[in-house]
Amino acid sequence: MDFDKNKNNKDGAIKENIFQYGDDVKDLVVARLETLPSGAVISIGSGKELTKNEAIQSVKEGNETGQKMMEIEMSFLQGLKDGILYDEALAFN
Amino acid sequence: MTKRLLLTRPDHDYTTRYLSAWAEKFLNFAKKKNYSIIDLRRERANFKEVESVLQKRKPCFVIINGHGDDDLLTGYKNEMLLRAGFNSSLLQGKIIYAISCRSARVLGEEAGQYENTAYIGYKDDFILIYLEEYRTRPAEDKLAGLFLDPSNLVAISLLKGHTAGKSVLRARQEFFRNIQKLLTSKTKTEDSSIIRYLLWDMKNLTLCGNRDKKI
Repeated sequence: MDFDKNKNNKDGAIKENIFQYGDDVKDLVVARLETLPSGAVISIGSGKELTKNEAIQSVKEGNETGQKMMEIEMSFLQGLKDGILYDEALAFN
Repeated sequence: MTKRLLLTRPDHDYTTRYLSAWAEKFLNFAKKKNYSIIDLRRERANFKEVESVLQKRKPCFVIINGHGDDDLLTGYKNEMLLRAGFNSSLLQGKIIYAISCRSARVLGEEAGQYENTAYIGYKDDFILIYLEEYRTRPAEDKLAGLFLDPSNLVAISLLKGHTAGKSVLRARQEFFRNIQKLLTSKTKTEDSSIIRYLLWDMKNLTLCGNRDKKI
């Protein structure tokens, strides 16, 4: 699952939060999105509302919204790897 | 002295209509607690009215339902209401809860540096999942409730007199409770697929400024 977290912009400066995810991540996120309830709409970002199919298309195209969907998925998987659910359970209980 | 609550509800798209419908829950609670409510809906959720209310009527609690970005919050048809480096000083001395994307990053950080001010918001996109069939009756959408009940708890907890810090903690706990409910084997796969988005919102709910501030 390759991604370049610190991709340089045109000026050579490091621009944070620009991820370039590989096809394996795209496939994973598309598979995850397929499991959303039918009729689900995702409200994400300023006024963007996507149906499940539109969200899947965004990921396949790798556009800005698709990149955000992938970022959320990777954040979730990284969190699971780091034991976030366990940590939060300990913190809250 | 009666405490004043300022609420914006632009209602110009489905997301803001969902926020508006679910806001009724904490609004009813605020009415029971005898708050004076300044409810700016639709066209009234504009820059001029918000600035005027903040300057003249001095609400102690401000809830902005709408869209946003790192440095701003918007109202009806995405008109700018508050922007870092421009009019954030209007928030000084207040508790603000921004149910919008990203505004805690810059606007919240800036407002939180004012004396006796607490800014609660999200430091990245606020994700809401809802079901298309409930668009005309959003208050009945239980899937959306998994996101909006924890979010509402920030406001309800503050209205109960808890500190900003405690209110954020309680809301995060509520997000986590919903996540735990969805982790059980009885939950359908399609419902458990939203866990990642609940966790995202929980992680991004942030408090800037005075943790001990109360209404």
